[in-house]
Amino acid sequence: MRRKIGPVAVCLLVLTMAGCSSLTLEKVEFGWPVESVLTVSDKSTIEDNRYALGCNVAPLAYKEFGDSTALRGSELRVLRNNEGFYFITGRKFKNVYVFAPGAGELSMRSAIEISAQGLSDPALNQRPPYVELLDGKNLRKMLSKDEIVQEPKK
Amino acid sequence: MTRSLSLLILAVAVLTLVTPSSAQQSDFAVKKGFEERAALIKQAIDSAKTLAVLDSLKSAIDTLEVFYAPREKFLDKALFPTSFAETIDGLRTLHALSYDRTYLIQTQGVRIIALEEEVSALSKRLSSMTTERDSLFQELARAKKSLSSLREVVRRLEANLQAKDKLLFAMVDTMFVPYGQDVSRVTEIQKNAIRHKLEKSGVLQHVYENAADNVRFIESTTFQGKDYAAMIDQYQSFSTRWQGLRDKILAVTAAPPPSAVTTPSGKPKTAATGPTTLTIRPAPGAEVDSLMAVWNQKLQGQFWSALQKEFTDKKVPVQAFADGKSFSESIRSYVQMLKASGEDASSFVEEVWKERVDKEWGAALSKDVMLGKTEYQSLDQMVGGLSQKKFDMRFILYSLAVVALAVAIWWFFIRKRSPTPQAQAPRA
Repeated sequence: MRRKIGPVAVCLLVLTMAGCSSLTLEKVEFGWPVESVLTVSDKSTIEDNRYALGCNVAPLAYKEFGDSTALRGSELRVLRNNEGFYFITGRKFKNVYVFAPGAGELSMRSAIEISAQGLSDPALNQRPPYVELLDGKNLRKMLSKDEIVQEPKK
Repeated sequence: MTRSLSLLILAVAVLTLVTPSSAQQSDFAVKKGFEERAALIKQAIDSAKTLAVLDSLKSAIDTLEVFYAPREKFLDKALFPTSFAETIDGLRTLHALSYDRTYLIQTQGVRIIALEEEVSALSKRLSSMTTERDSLFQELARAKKSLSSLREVVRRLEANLQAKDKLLFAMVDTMFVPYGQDVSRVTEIQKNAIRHKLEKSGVLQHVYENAADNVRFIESTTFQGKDYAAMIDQYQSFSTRWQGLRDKILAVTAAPPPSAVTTPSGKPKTAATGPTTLTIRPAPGAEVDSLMAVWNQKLQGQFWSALQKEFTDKKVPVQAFADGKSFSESIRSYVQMLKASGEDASSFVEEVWKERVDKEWGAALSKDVMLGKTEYQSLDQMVGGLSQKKFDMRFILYSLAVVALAVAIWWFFIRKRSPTPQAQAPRA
């Protein structure tokens, strides 16, 4: 009797283990076709109707300018890359901030330093697998979620 | 307005000439630029008033499409839920609709201008005919002494009134032509425009005056039986046209505008001077209606009384009649009486009916509004039957007399020439 129960128990254990493993969908493209230009409200929040994104950017203002109210009324440029990371920058920003989405939060993955003087007319373009950063006609950089990956040839 | 439209078109032209595919450009700027230019073109199409402007905007749409075509895939995503092709198609559809509308307005505008010129010309002719009418009425008063000149003036006046009526309703038709057949469906703005035109041209006043002229004409002189057919036609034609015009006026204005028809001095206008003095008050549509009733009443009254006079003058004792029905009854009754009495009806048939009634009044009596063709023919046959019966009896009588005479002559000669047996014996 014990000899018969042994293999059955093993089979059940294998099946149970397989059922508990996580299901993963691959080749997901989170990328937005075009950046969103969002105006920061008086409460230091931004809201994107098309992608249903909303958050408080006061910590970002404090991080970039040392003043949590510095971004009020200004425009932020937000673009999500194909991997799902949010790239955020704006005028006078020295960095491009990369955020990873979490449960009810965006957590900073990196702050990519671009210009010591600050950007004058930044724009983000989706250029898979990278995000292109433009600043007027003078600056163009390809960004990954962590760094500047290459300098474009002029 | 024209200046702002010109600036708009210039902005469209300049913006569409700027290439979006420069080496280094924000995708967002491309999207925004496309949307702004499309919106600008749309606005310019909406504001366009001429075909020339729309032609230039068609070029602007073509340019927009060509310049942004390389970014079509990007724009399809960026413009979601719409797409690049849908946006361009939308502009083209809007352009086509606007082009049709503007073409219609321009062509109709030209037509309206032409029609307004026609209305103006007709109005002037109407005024000159009114002057002619006045002089004809004066001439009529003078010409009563001479029958021939009176006939001539009556004929000219009748022609003048008919021409005036036709002219007036032609003018009215011209006013309504641009708005199609169903006036009730025109917009409030168009209704106001029609009302304004009707008031400006004094259409109701003219209608009233023309009707009053016709009443005055009937009252001014006596007519021959032959004249009445044309006068009845004139009344019928005017009445039908007035009904149509009144319906149109009611369609454009539920309550007629309170514009009293007055003289330039502000006094109520007197349309006719003579036996019937008619003063135009507010609500001219109702005034015309009542005047039309007066016209019909006078025409009918004068017609039947003049016809009655034909019988009275010839001492034919028919019963008095005042309309088609009583006339028919009267004639039938008289014919029955002649038949019953065996009285000689030749005088009535030949001198009264055939010479006067049939020749002078037949055409008018045959009108549906008077007696009607069928009833008139029936009466004519019945009266003619009196004559036919008499003729047959005489013919038989004469024939019998001739035969009797012939037999008598024959008998006389035969008797005279035949020899007696005694007279022949000695010769033998």
